[in-house]
Amino acid sequence: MQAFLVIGYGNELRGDDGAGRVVADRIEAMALEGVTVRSVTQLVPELALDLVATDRVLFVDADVTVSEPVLRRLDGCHSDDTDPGALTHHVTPEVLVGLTVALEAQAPDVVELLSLPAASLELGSPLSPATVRAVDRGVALIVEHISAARQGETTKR
Amino acid sequence: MTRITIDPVTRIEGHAKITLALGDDGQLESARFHVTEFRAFEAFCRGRPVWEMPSLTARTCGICPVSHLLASSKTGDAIMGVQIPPTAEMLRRVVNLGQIIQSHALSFFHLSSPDLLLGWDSDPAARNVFGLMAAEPELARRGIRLRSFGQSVIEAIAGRKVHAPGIVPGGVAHPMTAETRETLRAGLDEARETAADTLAMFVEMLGRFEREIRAFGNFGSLHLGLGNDAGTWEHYNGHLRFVDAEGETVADHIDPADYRQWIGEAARFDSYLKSPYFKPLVDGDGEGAGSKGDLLAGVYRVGPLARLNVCTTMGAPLADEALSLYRERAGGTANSSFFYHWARLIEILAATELMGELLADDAIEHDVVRARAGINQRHGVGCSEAPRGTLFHEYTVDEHGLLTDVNMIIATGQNNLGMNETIRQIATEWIDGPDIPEPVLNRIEAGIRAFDPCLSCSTHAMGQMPLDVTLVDSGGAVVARRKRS
Repeated sequence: MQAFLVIGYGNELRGDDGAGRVVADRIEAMALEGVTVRSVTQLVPELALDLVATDRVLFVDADVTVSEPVLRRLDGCHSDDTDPGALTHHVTPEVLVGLTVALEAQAPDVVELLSLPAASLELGSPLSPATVRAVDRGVALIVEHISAARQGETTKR
Repeated sequence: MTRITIDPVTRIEGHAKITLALGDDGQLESARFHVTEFRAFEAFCRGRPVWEMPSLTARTCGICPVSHLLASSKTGDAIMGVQIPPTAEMLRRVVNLGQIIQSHALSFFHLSSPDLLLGWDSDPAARNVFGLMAAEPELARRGIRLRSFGQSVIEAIAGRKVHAPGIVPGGVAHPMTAETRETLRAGLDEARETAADTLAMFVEMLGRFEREIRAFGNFGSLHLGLGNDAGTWEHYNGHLRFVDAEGETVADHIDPADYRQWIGEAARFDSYLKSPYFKPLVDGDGEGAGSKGDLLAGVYRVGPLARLNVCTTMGAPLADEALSLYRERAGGTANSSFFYHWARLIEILAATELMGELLADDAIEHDVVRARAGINQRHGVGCSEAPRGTLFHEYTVDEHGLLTDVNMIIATGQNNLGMNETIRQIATEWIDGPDIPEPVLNRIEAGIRAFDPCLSCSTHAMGQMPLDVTLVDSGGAVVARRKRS
């Protein structure tokens, strides 16, 4: 069975920015077999230690440019994806994967990003109604996605 | 006059800029460090219940939330009028040591090592943590694992790595389980080895940095830290101790609750960061002339450099060996701000040793970890050593425990005057005329980084942190600009 890692990130104090973390917390509560979950404020270099230990990683983040949850594969992440300006404050999934390759000469086989629509990033805890709905869809989408991947594994065998 | 602005300063926690003003002769006229973030935490905490303050003030910072949790909870202890259970103090000490490890590891491995290991003059495009990984992958890997260990300690005791809820007024929220204790003990050997090896590597490199040691904020000032009667390195409790540039005690056995008698806070027009100073050496508000009217007469430094100057021993064998060598090289009291890096590594080593002692004591598993009480005092002060230096919280509450007044003095603020002196000294040493090469600008930034300033970075960064340098002539026209994206 492939190991899945779900990393939801964002700031829960900045409205919809915390949507990725809400999704991650809900996935974690399901205790899905073979699925590890991290809910973090921002991506940091230490997460490379988790990436080394997984086959597939799915990042979940808020995005003001999408109107529906969008799941896409991030292809071509490698050790060159190390933005020289990227520091502790601004590590992207690509940079984190690149960092993992630079450190351990390996990376997850599949790297994906689920972008959730964000309407308001103002100070304040509650998610906007639209993002609440997107979170529900995002959770369902991840569960289906993991299930489909598991079925694919079974078929291959 | 020509004015050069470094905006924002990179590889620090938060947002700031540096302005260098050159006179018509091309020589340095002034150097200023400006903090451009405005957070106003003290203002919007008013009206909140004192029990909420640990988790609220922990939001002041995403890098060292544990420090605010501890200072805030200690203030809550004072307002409740309780003595916390001994096991709670042990757990608070362990979590603070974990915080010191993870924060110092971030500072050394992620932020400063690129300069130290790759060189001040190396390609700026690769002079970052990723360049370090390419050049020194094993060191980078060990640094990441060390920081991860410190964070795991925080998570185990306080509940989460960031903005943890487990430290509360009266003690801690939960006892430590045997399983958690063993897990943490299992990680200690590797952490200690990484700290010791990195320390040895740093000492070996020192010969390369003679000029930086001499010119990176190498000046006489006071040093402040928590002290205890045994003279050992203190990070959680105790009294305030000021020593001078020669290591002589200037003031000692000061109850942290009396800090206002000793520390003044000046606000300057060009920065949101306050400038605390040692009151007995400055008359009035520090704006006057003369030796006692000048704010600079009251400069003191806090953090690793100051803590090692304030203590007699580290209270841990390996760290004490390291301290002996450090003092021999520094000539007794360390006054070069470059030595913050060295002091930080010694503190990591001490933290692993002292944590080992605490975790070896079966009392750490006792289940009485919280004292409960209502509002018994209307006013309280809490003080602890954050990784960057001494941290003060002071609250006044009404009969219901709602805050009517809040004051916080953070470590980085207390180093504000010292940081200004550091960039002035570096600029004076390296700048000769208006043509300033990038490695010189990097050294000026690195002078700030030596203090590891944290400018309240709890807001989620929406963008990158480029280096934007603008050269402006006396008429305000931009004559040159270089941007590092």
